[in-house]
Amino acid sequence: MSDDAELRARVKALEALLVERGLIGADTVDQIVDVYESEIGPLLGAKVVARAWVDPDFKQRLLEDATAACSELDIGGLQGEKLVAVENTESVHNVVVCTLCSCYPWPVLGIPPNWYKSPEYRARMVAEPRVVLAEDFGLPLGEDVEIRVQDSSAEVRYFTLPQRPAGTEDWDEERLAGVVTRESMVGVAVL
Amino acid sequence: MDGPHDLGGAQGFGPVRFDPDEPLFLHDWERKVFGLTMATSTVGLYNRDENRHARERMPVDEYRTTSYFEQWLVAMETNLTELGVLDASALRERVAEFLEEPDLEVRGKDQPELFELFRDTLEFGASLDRPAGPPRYSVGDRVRAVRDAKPGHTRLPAYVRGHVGVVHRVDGSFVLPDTNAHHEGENPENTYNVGFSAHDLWGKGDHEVLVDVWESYLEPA
Repeated sequence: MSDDAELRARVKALEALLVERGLIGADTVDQIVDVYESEIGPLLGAKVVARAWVDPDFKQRLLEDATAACSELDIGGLQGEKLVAVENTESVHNVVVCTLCSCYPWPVLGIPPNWYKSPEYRARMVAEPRVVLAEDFGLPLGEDVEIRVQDSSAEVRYFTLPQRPAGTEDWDEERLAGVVTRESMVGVAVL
Repeated sequence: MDGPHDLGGAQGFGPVRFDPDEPLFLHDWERKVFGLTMATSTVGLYNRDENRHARERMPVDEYRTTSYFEQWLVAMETNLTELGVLDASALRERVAEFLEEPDLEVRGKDQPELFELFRDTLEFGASLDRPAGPPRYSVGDRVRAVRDAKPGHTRLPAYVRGHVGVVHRVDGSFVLPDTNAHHEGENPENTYNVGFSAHDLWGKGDHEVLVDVWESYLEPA
């Protein structure tokens, strides 16, 4: 691995040449990254999940066509042009991976965390999900639970619809959204 | 090609280091690499598939010892110099200059209109869906993933090659990465979600692995 001083110099050199040649603006990089740091993230996916929990019609639309359902909440766009939501239940547990790179539903969950992009996760989740979920994520699933691993290898970007936690029957949508985690929408956690 | 990126089922990896509170970027240079990649792809200096392929062409030992955003940096350096956008020797000179004087500032004009263009891409997406003919396969069909690895870029994970699965969903037609990455045309094809049994893929396990594939990655089984 290159040391940080060399990496910093390589990145700065690239930015300097692109900016000096007018290919990008001096302000562009920070403006773009700021969007992903402040506007887009798993809070958006949490809204979608909470809506599905309180509105059975919305849930049905979400599972049939997640792209259209999410756009009802003004969620969609780059790296989420075709979204699919898969439902986790008592008997079926879905988990999402991208073995070839790091495909992830950006408009719903933001940009992916490091563990999702790691070679360990990409190598092992398709081959031994029961072990990885139990040992690395603390999620032991019963033998009667069917596991489906979704490898995001083409254009669809997946997220999971977790089960609504017990004891939240009288909660409103906003309060429900507050308990939905990024991990539960990738399928490495339940709530 | 069998590149170092194709990791599904690869042996010898330890535990996933899961930290729910990790920041998105561990270093400021990672943040910059992300922003530069988004900026240069927004203005269309290279396409998404050639960006991926530039990472996949890294030698195995280099790929395995390089962090995620360093791989992205390598891809930008590779594409921008190979495509003639930047001159490789000029880039080396500037790296040396910034190594010598790390506090030198990057100077140039702001381009607010470029951020507006990015905003549009962000909102409307950059979908590669294009019309193609009617799908060859239907839900429930048994299909076999082709056995041979193509020489260049492809999105068929090696671990399903030669295995039989069942079509779960037909997903519409999209630009074929295999040719788009090499500037050999868009050649849109229908795509499918295909389920494989873990026991068949790995000789053990009771789960199902679902993979998304382009039509030419499949043959009838």
